[in-house]
Amino acid sequence: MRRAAIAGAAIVLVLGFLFVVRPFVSEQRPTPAAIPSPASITKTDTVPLQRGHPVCFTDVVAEAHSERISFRVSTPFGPTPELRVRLRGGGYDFTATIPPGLLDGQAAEAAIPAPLVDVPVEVCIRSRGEPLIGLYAADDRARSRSTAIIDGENTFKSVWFQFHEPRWHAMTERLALTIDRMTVFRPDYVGRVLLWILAALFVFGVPVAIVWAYVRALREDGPPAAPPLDVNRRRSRWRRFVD
Amino acid sequence: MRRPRRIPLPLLAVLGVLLVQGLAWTFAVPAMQGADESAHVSYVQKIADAGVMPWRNPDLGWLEPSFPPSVSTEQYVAWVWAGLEPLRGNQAARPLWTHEDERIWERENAKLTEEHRRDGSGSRVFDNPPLYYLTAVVPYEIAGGTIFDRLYALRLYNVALLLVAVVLTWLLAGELFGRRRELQTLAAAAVALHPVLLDVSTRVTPDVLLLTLAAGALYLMTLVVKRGPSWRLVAGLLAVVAAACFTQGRALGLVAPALFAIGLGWWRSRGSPRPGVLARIPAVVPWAVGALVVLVVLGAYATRFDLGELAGFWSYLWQFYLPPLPGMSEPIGVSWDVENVYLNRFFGTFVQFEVAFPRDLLDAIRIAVWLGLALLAVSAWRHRRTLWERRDVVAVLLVAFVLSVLALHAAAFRALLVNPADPVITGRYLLMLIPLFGLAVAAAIAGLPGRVRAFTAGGLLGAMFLLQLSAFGLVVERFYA
Repeated sequence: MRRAAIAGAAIVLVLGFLFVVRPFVSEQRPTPAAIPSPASITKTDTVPLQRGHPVCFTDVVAEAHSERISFRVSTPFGPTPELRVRLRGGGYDFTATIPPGLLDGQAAEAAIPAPLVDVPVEVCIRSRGEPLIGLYAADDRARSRSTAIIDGENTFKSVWFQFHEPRWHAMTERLALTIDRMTVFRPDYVGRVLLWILAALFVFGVPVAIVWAYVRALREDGPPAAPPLDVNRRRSRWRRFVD
Repeated sequence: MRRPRRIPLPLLAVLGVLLVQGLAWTFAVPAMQGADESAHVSYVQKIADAGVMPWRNPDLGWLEPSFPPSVSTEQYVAWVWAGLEPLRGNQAARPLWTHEDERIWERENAKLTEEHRRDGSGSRVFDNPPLYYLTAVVPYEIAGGTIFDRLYALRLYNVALLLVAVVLTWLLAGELFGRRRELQTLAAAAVALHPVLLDVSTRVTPDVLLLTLAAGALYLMTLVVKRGPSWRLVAGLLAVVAAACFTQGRALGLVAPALFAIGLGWWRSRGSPRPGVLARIPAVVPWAVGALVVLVVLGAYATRFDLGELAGFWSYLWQFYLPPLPGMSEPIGVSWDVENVYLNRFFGTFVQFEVAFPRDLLDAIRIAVWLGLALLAVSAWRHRRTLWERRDVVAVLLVAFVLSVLALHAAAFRALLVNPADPVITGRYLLMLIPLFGLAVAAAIAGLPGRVRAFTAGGLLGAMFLLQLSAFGLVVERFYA
């Protein structure tokens, strides 16, 4: 009985780890380094961007893995002019240039050098020509703390703005980083050590413990009362296995 | 000297499993991401920091839970400066996950005073009965510190409640299956590995106390019918049901089953009725009257005392589970049926419903559920003698299930009459009856013979663990990948 239980669990767990868990955790995914201002949920808006009137926002943290920036443009009056994005703060200062020619709704992307450490920066997006364009922004509850400021006026909208890693990653490649990120905005006792222990116990300890509990329960119940055996009656192989 | 009772090792192992999973879910999911979690925290904060009882308090003006003035300034600062509100239910968002982000929030949080913990108008959640929130004040006060320290203390309190619910499931299984450790372990493990239960219970929500009290009520109901209605058991049962009603209105569905259990226990304790039609009439009549009263109350409640709507309620109820009969009109409200509630929402949606199991996995779960139900029927037939011997316990549990679900439908139909866009009833509401799910799993497996049973049970436990791990993986992917 106990061996049958272990066998049943082992088969399912091995197959599950091979065909469900492994493909899931090793699948390559696009990896955001940080999303200071996400896309809207219910209401998409734009903030105007025209030459001489840069759109700036603060309290943006450029995470140490950030090697690309992206935001989305609305340009109903023709392709975008050249755009410049300056990130400045905490000893980091870089201006990225986005070539002209983006069409309405396209994502503007540019490479940036990864900061040495996570660094809070101010982002300023400048237009180097015509026409007037818009930057997609959130004006619903997705509005972030980094609202856009134009000529000193707060628009109370946050420009959809993301930092990306240069290439895709599997979850397993980012396990240590993920655990590190789980300690943010948590009580002090939720540190990396606790989370590593929990992760190990969850993945390896839980299946062992749950099967052990069942096997132990079988042992505590003892063998089932055997029916009186009729030696003259031949039992099939199936019946012998089942009993 | 009396030896202290040892906690069975299989139960300890199941509790260990639950603790590990509970802590993992608790800390992996960022703050305020559960259903109305922010509003539930507000309720506790209103009691603990402002010293105000929100329940039935006419001085508080309710606002939409997502409207900033509904919560305290302290919470609102966390919503904005810790990036919690843009994250909620927003697949495009990720948490603010650097320690620099934490420092930015700390800068703003440091500007707040004690008064900023006390303000906030409240939301419709303030209409909830107060018991959970009153008890949650204890961990909230013990934790102290930042809003995050206090919020995670509330989540840990819920994990502790969940452990109690699993212990009660174990005990309940012991009453039904006659202390068979194998089936007790299966029932407790089926509960402990349920993915939606872990997801819901590790947020700040009164649902956990509700399901724990409901598990306690079910256990006491079985004791009342098995041991007879001693005043202690009856008082305990009534107190637990009352406590559940003061936790969440959905617990009202437990009142009639509790009365049924007390009535059945009392009837049984008077000895078996004498045979003969005449002797049976007095016994049948009160039961029939009782059933009629319950149905009339449910019908009146569901239809808002407009009995002209009874046909609509019946049609809604029928079409929730079955295809329409000829001549039946479209049920009220949006298309929302048994599949949505018992399958998709009970097994496969997480956080703010933005994370879900893939369709093919849900299809596999549907097949497993049907197989399980078939196995349950086979098991009932195989163990019909044992079932007959324990018919009182079985009857009480069945009545508890049917009446609780009927009460949920009655509340849903009542709400649909006012707002047909919100189907109200959801899989999370069924968690109140999660011990019965555990019992059903164990009972189904009990229908199999010897080694086949052990093999299947082992496989089932492995599969349930994989389900749990998959749900957790999807949630981690949603927030961190």
